Amino acid sequence: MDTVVATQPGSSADASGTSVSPLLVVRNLVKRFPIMSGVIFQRIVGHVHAVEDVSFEVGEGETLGLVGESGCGKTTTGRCILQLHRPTSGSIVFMGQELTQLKGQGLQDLRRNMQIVFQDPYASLNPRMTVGTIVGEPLAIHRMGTRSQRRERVRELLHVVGLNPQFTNRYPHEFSGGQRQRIGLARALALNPKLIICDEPVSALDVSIQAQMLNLLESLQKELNLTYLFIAHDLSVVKHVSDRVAVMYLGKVVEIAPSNELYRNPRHPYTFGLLAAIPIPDPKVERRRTHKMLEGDVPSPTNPPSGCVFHPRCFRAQEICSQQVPPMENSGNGHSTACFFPLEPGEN
Amino acid sequence: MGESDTHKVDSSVAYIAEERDAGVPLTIRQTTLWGDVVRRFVRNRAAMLGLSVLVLMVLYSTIGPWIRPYGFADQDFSIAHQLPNAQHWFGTDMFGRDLFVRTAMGGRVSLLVAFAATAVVLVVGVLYGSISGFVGGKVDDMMMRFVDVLYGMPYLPFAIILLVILGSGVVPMLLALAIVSWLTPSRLVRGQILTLKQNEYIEAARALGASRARVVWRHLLPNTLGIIVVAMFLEVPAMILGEAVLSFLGLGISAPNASWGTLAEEGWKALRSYPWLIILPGLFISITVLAFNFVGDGFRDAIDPRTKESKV
Repeated sequence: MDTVVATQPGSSADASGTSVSPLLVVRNLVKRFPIMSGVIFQRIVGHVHAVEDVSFEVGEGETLGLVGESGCGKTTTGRCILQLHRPTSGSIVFMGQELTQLKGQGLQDLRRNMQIVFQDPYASLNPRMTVGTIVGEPLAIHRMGTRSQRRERVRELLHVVGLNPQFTNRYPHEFSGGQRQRIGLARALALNPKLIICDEPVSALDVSIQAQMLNLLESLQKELNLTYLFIAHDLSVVKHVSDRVAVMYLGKVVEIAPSNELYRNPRHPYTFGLLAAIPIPDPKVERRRTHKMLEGDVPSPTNPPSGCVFHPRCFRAQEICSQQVPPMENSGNGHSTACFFPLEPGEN
Repeated sequence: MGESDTHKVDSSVAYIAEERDAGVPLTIRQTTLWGDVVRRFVRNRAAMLGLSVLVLMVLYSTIGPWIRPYGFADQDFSIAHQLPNAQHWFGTDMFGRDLFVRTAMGGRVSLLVAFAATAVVLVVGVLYGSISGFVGGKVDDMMMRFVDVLYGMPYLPFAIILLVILGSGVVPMLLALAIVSWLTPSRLVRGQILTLKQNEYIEAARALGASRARVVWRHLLPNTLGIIVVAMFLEVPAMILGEAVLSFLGLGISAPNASWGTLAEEGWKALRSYPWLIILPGLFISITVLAFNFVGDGFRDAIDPRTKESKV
């Protein structure tokens, strides 16, 4: 199965036109989880195909949005990049080094440069640790600075994410969801990473707090030259923050394009269906819209459909779609689609 | 404290203003989990009462025999079966032995066996349970099936057989108690670790490059401490009672040495005519057990930062 590179590095269509070699390159990433059965003698009865042949790259200082329904493999992709899950196959090159083969100290050194912000601000902070200990833990693990230097750095980090540096002695349960998410962000920033994987960082927050968090992420990106892989299921949030967006369906990337381009000219029928489902906050317009809704449910990832995984739900599907896997094809402007019958501009 | 979500990175004004409002000095001492635990525990009256009772018990057992001028095995039939009086503060038993001294000696044995057995049980149980839960998979399966098999063995015959093999005395006694008692804590800890392992903060720690030992020691175990502590404070009285049961069956400390269990057993024989002989060790056993429960509750609350501290 060959996958064409989604975007050429250095193609000036991107916002980050200056970066020559991308910070993160993911090639043909596959992650399958075995399903075990049996009481004493366990055997593998099948696999969950969480991530199937995913390729993309992220340039330095760029934000790549990763969207899709729940269970489509967004989060698993993120965890594979961080080596929290070891990928089944494929390659992940970060800062010029192949991560999948890396172990021990080499991996440890690279971990300094990539961090994660989690979805659930309640589960992602250890309830028995004070904020100071939580934010200072990365520094302690990597043995950076003396005790008092670390304490100073923690205060600085809390200030950077907009929290009162006096909060170091408090416990996570004393904070609101938005504040906890800031603590998680401060922890992620502690080692001055280059890449931060934001795994649905705002979906657990109130809408009013979401905007604050997104603005914070944005201003930090500019200030600290951060690169984000922004995982979300909320298309309007992704549109707001991303330079480019990759759409995932059932473990596969079906479309990658610069953010504006994707929202204006979706080419994959799935992307089109997703965008059509976004409500417009104007009752008059909303009433006049004709919805082309996605029908049916996402098939089980233990037994994905043949050919194009989207064909059972696709309104443009033809015979070939169930027989062959559509390759990623670049239609210019860094816009790639994996579809035999993509929508043409203006067709929607 | 209010929503202090000021998102502007460059506004140093926001937090400084807040500090002034809160009226706290600019530099504050960094507190640790353990510092907070001690502070909260000290504020809990019932727990402190329990703790003082336990300290008194330990003190009494340690120095009690030296306070009175009687040996624990000195017999004098002319003064048998006395109630507490000026010479014999706790009275005397059927051989005229001083019960103040004998109860203190009994406390030594009972508490020593209970503490030592509990320590062994906890170390073995916590280690076994956390390894099983943390490693998971096949290792976990095998380790837990082994526990299941041991669970299937009846407690008392198993302990008796062990004591017959090991011989009688303090060390065989505590070993026998420990060997039959480590199963429950290991299951508790394993279950807790399995639940906690799923938490995102464990993944966060791994993403930071924390070693396995650090994940277990800094993240998993502190969160299981609550149940470990409660298990411990349930375990100690259970050990005291277990020791009493085995002594009653003649497998424990042999005369003229005494434990609270053997004292109660001797008293039970004269229950109709001299009830004081069983009331005295019974009181010591129940007060100690009660104190342990108070301390256990207090400690569990103190370890959880989410418990209210509003009690003055």
